Amino acid sequence: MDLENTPHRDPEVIEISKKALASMPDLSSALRYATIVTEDGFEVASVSKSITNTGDDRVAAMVSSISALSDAIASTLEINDSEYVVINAKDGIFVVRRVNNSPLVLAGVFDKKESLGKALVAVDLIKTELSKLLGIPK
Amino acid sequence: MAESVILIAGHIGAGKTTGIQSVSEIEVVSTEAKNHDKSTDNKATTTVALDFGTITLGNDMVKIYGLPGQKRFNFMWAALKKRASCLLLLTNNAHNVDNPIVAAIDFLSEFPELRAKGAVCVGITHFDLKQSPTRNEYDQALKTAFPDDPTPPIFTIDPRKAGDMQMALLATLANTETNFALSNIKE
Repeated sequence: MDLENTPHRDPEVIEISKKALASMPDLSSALRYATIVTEDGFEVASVSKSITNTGDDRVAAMVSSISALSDAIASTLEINDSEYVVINAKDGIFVVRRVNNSPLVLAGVFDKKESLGKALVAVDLIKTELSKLLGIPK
Repeated sequence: MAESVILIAGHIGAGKTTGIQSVSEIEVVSTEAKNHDKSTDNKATTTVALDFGTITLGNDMVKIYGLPGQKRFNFMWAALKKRASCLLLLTNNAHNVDNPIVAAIDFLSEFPELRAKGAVCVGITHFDLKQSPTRNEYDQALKTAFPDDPTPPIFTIDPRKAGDMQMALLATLANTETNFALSNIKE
């Protein structure tokens, strides 16, 4: 398994990522879209219920940018590592979650019928499952 | 004190992050991530959102934003160009994947407003490693690609050298102000 160099092209990493994401709709019926991307903006896997237009690698690149910007802000403000970024939009919630000790970033889009707390929990559970499947140390 | 915003654009590996780090008077805000696409460039890391630094040039406080080099991040280009006074394009003469002139034209095509205002300069980097294309070849290619726009000044720079970067930033500001003044005279 090549988690360090080209995870977005490694069949085993892709398969494991798909498996982790597959359980996400069961955790939240409000999930519309979820993706796992590399920290430099390449999609590894995604699952979609109602969002199909993700602009090829555009959303993957945006997720990596947001994650990196949150790291930069947390570092500048000396509040330690960034864990989540939340965009609370009019018609949905977008959560970005860094998968610690790995080059991967997880993101999910939820309907507004989901509470922010439940959305965060769903993303966190998938992050934990992904880390376990990939053998990433805590 | 006046404030200006200079964007630094260019292909991955052109020297954008290095250039900002060499001149910034503040600790550079950096968004580097591990580069998982070595087919594009063999760098260990790559900018995925922006670099940010500042420098005082004369009476101007200049905010410098470095853009990510890969096209998949062009939403950052679109977001940052709205607030930009001018653009310094860095082009890596020794890049082993893309033709540097084609890459330069591709980048400049993304900034038509700044190009039309004459608010652009081009810095050729890694010229010590590869002397072709020449400045004249860039000049001819840009004149052909953008015949209606003022041709940007083109010079060779080493982004690792603060003096080179200061010169490039000053030239970009001066060129922008000169073209602005000329456009007022024409009107």
